[in-house]
Amino acid sequence: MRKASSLLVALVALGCESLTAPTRTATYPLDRLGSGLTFSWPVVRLPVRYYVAPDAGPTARLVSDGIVAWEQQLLYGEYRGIISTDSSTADVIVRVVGGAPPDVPLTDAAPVLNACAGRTRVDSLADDHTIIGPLRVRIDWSEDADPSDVANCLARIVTHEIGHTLGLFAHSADTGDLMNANPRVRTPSMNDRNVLQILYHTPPDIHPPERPEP
Amino acid sequence: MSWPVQPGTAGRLAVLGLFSLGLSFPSAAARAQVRVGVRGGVLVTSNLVRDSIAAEPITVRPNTAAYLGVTLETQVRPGTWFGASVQVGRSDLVVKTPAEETPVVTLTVWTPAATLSQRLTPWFNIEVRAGAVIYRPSSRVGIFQGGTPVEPVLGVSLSASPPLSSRFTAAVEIGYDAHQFTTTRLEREGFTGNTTVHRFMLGISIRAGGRAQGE
Repeated sequence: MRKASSLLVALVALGCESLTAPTRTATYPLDRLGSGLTFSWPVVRLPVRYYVAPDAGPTARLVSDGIVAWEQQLLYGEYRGIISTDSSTADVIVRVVGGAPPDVPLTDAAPVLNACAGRTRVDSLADDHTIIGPLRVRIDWSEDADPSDVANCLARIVTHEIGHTLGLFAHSADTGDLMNANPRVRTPSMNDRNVLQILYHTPPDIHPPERPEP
Repeated sequence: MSWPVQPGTAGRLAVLGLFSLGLSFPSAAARAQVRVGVRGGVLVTSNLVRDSIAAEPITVRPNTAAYLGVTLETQVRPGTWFGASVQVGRSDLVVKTPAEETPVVTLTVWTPAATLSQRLTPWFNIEVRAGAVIYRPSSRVGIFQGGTPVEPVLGVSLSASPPLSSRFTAAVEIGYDAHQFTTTRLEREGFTGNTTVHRFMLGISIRAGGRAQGE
């Protein structure tokens, strides 16, 4: 019995420490265009379906990588995305203007900002703040730029645009953040992560587009 | 802390090996003052993580799990047994917020341990355990991204065991153990310290061998 008592003392001693969560601070706005309205995908709509046009070449892989990069920023499975082959049931449609960009390895070269561009469009909201139609991502790239600069640029821009599709509609003023208007990094920063985590635990005002079933 | 081999495979082999012993050698075990046992029941686990984001409380815990285990023990003196056990429980890991409860991954938890069992009265036994808790999620995402923990564990259980026969003993068991929990990902995220995880077990066990001569 003495051994059992010692064990119980040891078990109680185990309880003297606790896991302390960090404090997250949003360093850039959560809302859409200063409207005060926020958007995040509800759990019931996961995984978010991304359709990438067939002529997008390596962009489909970049979209897939971008989805994973953002999934990894969240601790509790708040967001998941998949590539869908059916545009009619997709939540997000990604198109590349000018056909498939060059498929060359990424390098560590300094960012060349005009080698590509991206834009995420959220069609007007219904009266109840429901997005109409799928979110649309448009990717442009420059034929005049060096192919490796284009590839590097797309790796940043595509993940940046995926961030917009998650509900990160605002831009960060910090050049170290992926959600800066001219992203210089390929992966979300700690600031991006914190803003995303806060966004996904803030009740959304904007509802996702209705999803037509196949 | 990462595990150098595939513990899922190692654990299953250990369980199979101990089951084989149990099925093949009950009479020999009795002669050698060795007994084997199987146990099963339900396992309730306390929160692994408590967090708060944007004032929303979040808890992460495994759902109530079914568990199975095997033990192999040898008598060190009349009424006292020393042995080894392996236990495995499996359930969904659930993230709970005030608004919803979301299963994230299926979590398998292995618990290999050394055991020391002492007869208190002819029908009641106490067992203390020291070993490890090995977390194996179905996918290394979220809090398990970057590695899965292996943590030391201490536990105790009480059992009531009317003898079935000279070679078999059935027991109703209640158990408790505790271990510390954190993950590489949580540390990278800025979490500090550890959660003390409490586990409560209620189950039955059947042991073969040993009792007729030793007790």
